[in-house]
Amino acid sequence: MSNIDDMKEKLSALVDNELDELDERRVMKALEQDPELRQTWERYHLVHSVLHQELDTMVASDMAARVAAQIESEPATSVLSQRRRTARIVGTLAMAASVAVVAVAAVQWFNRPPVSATAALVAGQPASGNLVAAQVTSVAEGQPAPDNFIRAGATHWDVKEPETESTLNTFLVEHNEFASSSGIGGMMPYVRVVGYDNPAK
Amino acid sequence: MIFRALTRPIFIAVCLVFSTAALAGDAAHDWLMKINKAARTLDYEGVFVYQHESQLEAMRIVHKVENGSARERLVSLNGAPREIIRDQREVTCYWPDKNSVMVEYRKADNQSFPAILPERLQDLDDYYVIQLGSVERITGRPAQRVIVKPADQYRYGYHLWADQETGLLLKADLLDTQGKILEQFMFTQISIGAKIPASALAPGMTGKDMVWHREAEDRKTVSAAPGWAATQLPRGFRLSAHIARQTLMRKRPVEHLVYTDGLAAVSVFVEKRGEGTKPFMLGASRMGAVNALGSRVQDYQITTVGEVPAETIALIGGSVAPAGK
Repeated sequence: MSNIDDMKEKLSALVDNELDELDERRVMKALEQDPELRQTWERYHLVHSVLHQELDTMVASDMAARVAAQIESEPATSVLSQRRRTARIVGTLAMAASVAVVAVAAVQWFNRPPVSATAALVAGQPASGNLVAAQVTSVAEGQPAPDNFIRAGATHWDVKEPETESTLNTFLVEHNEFASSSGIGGMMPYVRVVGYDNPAK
Repeated sequence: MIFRALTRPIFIAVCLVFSTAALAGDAAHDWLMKINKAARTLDYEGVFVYQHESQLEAMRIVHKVENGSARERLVSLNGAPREIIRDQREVTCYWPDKNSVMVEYRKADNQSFPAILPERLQDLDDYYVIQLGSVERITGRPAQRVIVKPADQYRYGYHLWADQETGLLLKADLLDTQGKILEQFMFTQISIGAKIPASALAPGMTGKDMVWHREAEDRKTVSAAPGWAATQLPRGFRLSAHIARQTLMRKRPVEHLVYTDGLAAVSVFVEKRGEGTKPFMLGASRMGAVNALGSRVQDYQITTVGEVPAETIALIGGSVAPAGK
């Protein structure tokens, strides 16, 4: 196995919180130095969250096909290393389901803005300190890491993150059912869900 | 004798002052009830603007009651044509920009849209000062202004303008604890009571090529005692609903607690995190007047959401603990 493949394998393990401390530090170091690796890391994270949380998502058939084609044109290692993927998925999921899941991940990925999230976040407003700290804890078990890739990876309370935004929106819709029982009543609470496609800065 | 001659007019004057104050309060309460009822029972169709921070949105709303059951459609007129359709049974959200459709089943009340209960209305006086303002002109119609001022820093205030004839809310300002406007909503065009064709309530898109997230229908609407509770609540807030549900995206059990003071509502969602799930969402977040807080208790993700000041969310969300401990 080449050095790069080895590193990708470790990255994948890192995302799953399965690395020992020594390896973790080594991967962090490599991430600091290699922008391409950082991108891979971001992608793994995205796939990871989708694999673990949105298995029941239904995908319109033509979209699945469209995205599946896109995935096929990429080597398998670009998503998860083949071995890990096989070990992880085949036992538990039907193949069709996994294609759908990956399709969703890919759609989310391809829908991202062309500027890399990392660059945009570095240039834009910094996330607040405690958010970053929370991320570090959950992602790397307390390992300090360069903060320019931490914010780009997983979900946090930033409404610009598509996944968090939809989580918040889901909760908001559920909450609205009760909020609308207030005197102001009616559709008012739902206005926010419809109106907030451009969260104010 | 002189004493009696003097005290009698004073006594009468005092009685008068108190009774007019009580009457004014009642009239303001009546208007709140009228607004609430109008939004549920009238047929109307209109365009309104909604302002939050520096953003301005325009939306169309259609509301129709047929055989005692209401159906509502809300469409964004700017940007992506997001759409929400709500009836007795479910709420369907079309998000073309996210290529997804979300279907939630209604749990609050299967029979009708929820209303304020009159007994809660009296309680409101403990946490809000509710007064009638002047009659003003909104969207070309005379409108009664109702002022709702919070008594403490744990809730927002409201200025409401209700159509004098029908009670329908024509304009609303949401104010923070300093009295600064957080959000505004106002009809720019409205037609009340005109015949609405069924087609006006149909979604503008089929959702055929979109991803559908449909909530399982066999949800349980709670009988068991809540496993969790907020241990600190601002004055007047109490538990008004408790629902065991599944998260829409992840099909995990979530406990949903609703606390309300009669006007403002706060939801607490408690979800257990298993092995290998995504990181906890921690920290405060804000969407205009809506505040949210993510926190963690043991292996549980607590998410607190509500149209209340951040302080209220922090107090309630920060105090969530397993019930009975």
